[in-house]
Order: sequence, then C-alpha cells, then structure tokens
Amino acid sequence: MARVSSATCLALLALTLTTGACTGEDKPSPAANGGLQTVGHYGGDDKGKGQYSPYALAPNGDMLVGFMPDSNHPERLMGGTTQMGWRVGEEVTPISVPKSGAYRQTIAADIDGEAVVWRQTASTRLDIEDWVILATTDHKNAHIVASNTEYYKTDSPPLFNPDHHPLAVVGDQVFWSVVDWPTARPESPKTNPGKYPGRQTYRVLRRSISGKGPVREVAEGAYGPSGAHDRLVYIDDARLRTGRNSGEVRIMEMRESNSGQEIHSLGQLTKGAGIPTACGGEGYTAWIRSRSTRAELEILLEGGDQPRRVPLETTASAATLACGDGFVTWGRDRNRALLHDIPSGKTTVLQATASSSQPLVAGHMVAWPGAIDQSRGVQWSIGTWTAFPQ
Amino acid sequence: MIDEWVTQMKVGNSEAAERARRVHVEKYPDDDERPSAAQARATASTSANAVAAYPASDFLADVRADGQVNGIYCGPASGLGMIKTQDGVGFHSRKDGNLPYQVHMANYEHMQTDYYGATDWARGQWRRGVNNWRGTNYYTQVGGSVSSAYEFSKAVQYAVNHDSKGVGVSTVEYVGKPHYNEHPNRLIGHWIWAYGFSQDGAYTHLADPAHSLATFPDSQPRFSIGRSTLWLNVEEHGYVN
Repeated sequence: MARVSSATCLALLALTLTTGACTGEDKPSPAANGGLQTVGHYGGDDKGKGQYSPYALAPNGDMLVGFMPDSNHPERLMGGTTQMGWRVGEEVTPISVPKSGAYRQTIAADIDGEAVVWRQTASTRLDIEDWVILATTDHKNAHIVASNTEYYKTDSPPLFNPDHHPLAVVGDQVFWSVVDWPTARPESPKTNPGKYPGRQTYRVLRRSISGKGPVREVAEGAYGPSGAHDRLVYIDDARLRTGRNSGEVRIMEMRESNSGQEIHSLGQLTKGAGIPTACGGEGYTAWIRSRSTRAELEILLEGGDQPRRVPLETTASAATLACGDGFVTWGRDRNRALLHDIPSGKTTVLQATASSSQPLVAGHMVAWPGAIDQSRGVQWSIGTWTAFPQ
Repeated sequence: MIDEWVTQMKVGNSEAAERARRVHVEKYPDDDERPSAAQARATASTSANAVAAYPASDFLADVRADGQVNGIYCGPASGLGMIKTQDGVGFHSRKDGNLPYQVHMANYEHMQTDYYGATDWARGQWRRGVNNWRGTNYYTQVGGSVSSAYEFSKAVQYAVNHDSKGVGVSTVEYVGKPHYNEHPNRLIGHWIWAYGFSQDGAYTHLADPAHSLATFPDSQPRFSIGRSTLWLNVEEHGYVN
C-alpha cells in the first residue's frame, strides 16, 4: 500500500468519509468490513507547549485546538492564557478572547453544531479551581458565558472540581458543573449566603450560550454534564445532597424541557461505589460504574431496561468516556485507549502505549493520542469508525 | 577535596567520595565549583560497584505520608513528611527550634511558602527549607534538563539504600499528558517525595500530600510509578536529593 502523508490524508478527509480512499500508514484498517480507518495524524507539539493540541472534535473532522505559551518566567508554570484556535484541514485560525488579568489554562471543551464552548481556570493547584466559561459560534471571536466571580460575586476562588466532564453545549445552552464550598470558608456567608451550603455541594448549572440571562441550576447533588446528541446527560447522586455514605445514584437526561428525567437508577450505592462519568449518543446512554476494586462500562439502549456490561479492567476513576455514533471510547489507566462497538459488542484497542489516552469523539469521527515522543510530544491520530457487520 | 572527590569517584568508592564532598562543602559553602551532592550521588550510584550493591527493592521504614493541611502546603507537607520518616517524628527545626508542624516549615526561616504563596522550584525553597530544618547542606537541587529518568532512579536508590534518605520531587503535569496518582487533566505544579524503589529502580515509590485535600478523594497517600512515566512530570523542574 502506498504511503500517504498525514497532510494528504487530512486534505482528503471528506473524500475518505464516503469512499475510504485514504489509509494512514500506522493503522491499515478493514473499514470495508467495519472498524477503524485512520485518516490523518496531528501533533508534534513540544511537551504540551509550542504547538496546538486538540481539545474537541467536530463530526466533520474540524477541531478546537489550544496552544499553551511557554513560560519564560521561572516562578510561573503558565506563560500565558491557552490560545484557542479552530482547525480546518491543516490551517488553524486563532480565536480571539476577551482580555483577562490572570493567565488561564483550558481544561474542558465541547462542540455542538456551530457552537463551541470551553472552560478555563487560572489555578494550577489541586484544592481550588476558579472557572471561566467561554464560547464562540463563528470560530473566530469568543465571549465569556459565565465566570465564578460573577456567579459567586466574589474574587475568592471556589473549591477544586474533580468532575471529569464539567462542560457541555446542547443547542444554545451551555452546561457545566461546580462544587460550592462550605460555610467554613470565612468570607463566603457574608458575600452570597444562598450559595454556601454546610458541606461541599455539587451543582450542574446552565446558561444561554450568549452569556445573557440568569445562570440557572439544573440540579443539586449532580455532576458530569455531557452532550448526548440532542440531549444532556448527567449523574445525580443523592449522597451528595445528604452527606451519607449510602444513597441512590441515577443517570439523568434533559431534553428541551427544563427538568431532568431519570434514564436509569443504579439503586443504593455505598461508599467506594459510584458513577464517575457518563455520556450518550443517538439511541443509547453509557456510563462507568465504579466499585472499590474494579469498574464496568454500562451501556443502556433507548427503551431498554438492563444495561450491557463491559469490563474495563481498571479502577473507574482513571477512565473517561466519550460517545460516538454507535460506539463508546475510554482511556484505561491513562495508558490505553479502547473503543467498544455497540452493535457487535466488540472492543478494539485504539492505542496500547503510554499516553494521556482520552480519545475525542464526534459522530463517526474519533481522535486518539498516541505514544509520547520525548522530543515531539503527543502524536494524535484521527480516524473514522464503521460498525462491524452484524 | 575536589581532587579527592574526583579520585574516589573514578575508582567507584562512593562513600569516600561523599565524605570528600561533604568536607569540601562545609569548608567552602559558597564555592560554585564544588561537586554538588546530586552530581556526586548520581555519579556514585551509577558506578558499577554501587549498582551491584543495591537490592532489587528498598524502602524507608515507617513512611509518614503526611497530607497537606491546605492547598499551598504540598511543599512543607512533603518536606516534613520526609524528615519525620528519615530523621524521626519529633525532629525539631535546627534553625528555629520549632515543632515539626507544616506551618513552621512554611515560615520564612524554612520554605517561605507563606511569604511567596507557593514553594517555588526556581527559588530553591524546598531545598532551603529541608536543609535549614535539618541543619545541614545535604540536599541539593538537580534540574530535570541536566538529568534523566535513569539518573533520577539511581539517585533514589542511592538516597534510600545508601543514605536512608528520601528525595524531594517537583512535578509539573500538563493538560493531555500523563498524570500520576489520579491527578486531574490540567497543568499542575506539585511537590511529592520518594521513599523507595522496586524492580531494580524501574519503579519509584512516592508519598503524595494531596491525598488530604477534601476536594481530591482519589489521590492515594502512597503510590508507585514507572520511572520513565514519572519523568515526564519531573523533567520540567527536577528533584532534590
């Protein structure tokens, strides 16, 4: 088979989607019989700095990418705010953002149609996490949708949010999760008493992508908002409201209505068990069910009662999910990336060597990080997934 | 004594070389040309004699994996946990006589964490704090740019097995890159310390003070990791041995 450069592959991406004409040199694939077809590669960054890295993938292969400026200051980790850009083919168009005082890093992003959102924080610590939600719809100019300083009406940064998927955009609504800090924080009750509970409290919030109108609470004791085709999926954990070790955990969805609807109840879970992440695609919802010693991927088809269980062979906290058209991907212990084909029930290894292993997914497209090159950083592969024949 | 150090290093007598280095450092504390402790130990530990002397695994006893008492005390917590382990839990500061509390390690006489709001690698605050607390010049910084994963693992072997000491590690984790001990996927600067090794140094065993943070329940007090993977988080700053 003739060697095909990544540039050529990307240029032929649209053609590939329909003809399967372009095959990456690393991953010859049996796309005609279903499976993965690599259509390009992207990377060559200098250990996370120096070039753009992917943050979110669009169904046509376009990507939201980010560039973290190198720090020339020995006492600062960040050399500037992560510069976001919109990548089409080989071209990246920088996205202008409102100026800010502190440097910020991008930690999550999502795409739905023309809407692109991302979340940034100035914190490089493990205990606090200020947040700013930004959005663009023209892929050139971004605006602030919401920030912690506006929401809490104070400059004091909120607690760190350990949620894996703290951001989603569905239609014209942006969803994200926060952890409100307890009243033990000295300044909090005075400035905004309504938002400071007696224990740390998880909330899913929403606002119009325009940044106008109020920030509304979707649910308390909930986290992990994820865009799932035309709906929002999130996790509701009663233990986060009661503070008890045991409580009901539910997978929720929200469509056009303003209230969440239960998709599936996992019953009463006890300490050591939980649902760290969930996502969904057209006709299914998936989540990771964590137990103290192992974890499973559970997939519930629309209208079904019992989810399919797929062993992850890992503790769940290390895994993150991404849902595509008929498949689910996840990273295993941050050194393997896997893909589960829902129709056939087969699991495929996307990447088996050390990397960050958090694939990006959109429709039939999937991008996954490869091995880390000590001099060039993470190399990403981009491909399409076709379901195996039944 | 530099000549003596060089001589001993060449013949692989790491103990004699270390003695020579310490005499020189005590006599000429401001001598920039002196062989650093790290260089001496790295060279000694990579000599054939020294390598042969290491067991496949070794650990400091009764490890104190103290959790940090607030968000910025990862440096004081790791430094003090290390000192409590290797020098005794009641080891007072030789600088100001204070009890081994993190707030005392964070003061201006030691790591200066309160003063600067962080324990910066570039200022050498962790090394300064630990040395001042112990009243010695044992610890020196080794920049990741002039070392390697292999040298780091050898430094840990030497410190733990030869000197019964821990090694401070200043880590930087990047978005989209490997993160250790369930740390989240973002840019993080953090201090941990190494208390042991296994599989002939291929794996490093470390204490992570982040486990005490209420917002971060998945972090373990102690964990082990392959040296090459860990090095991806160490090479930006470095280690203190």
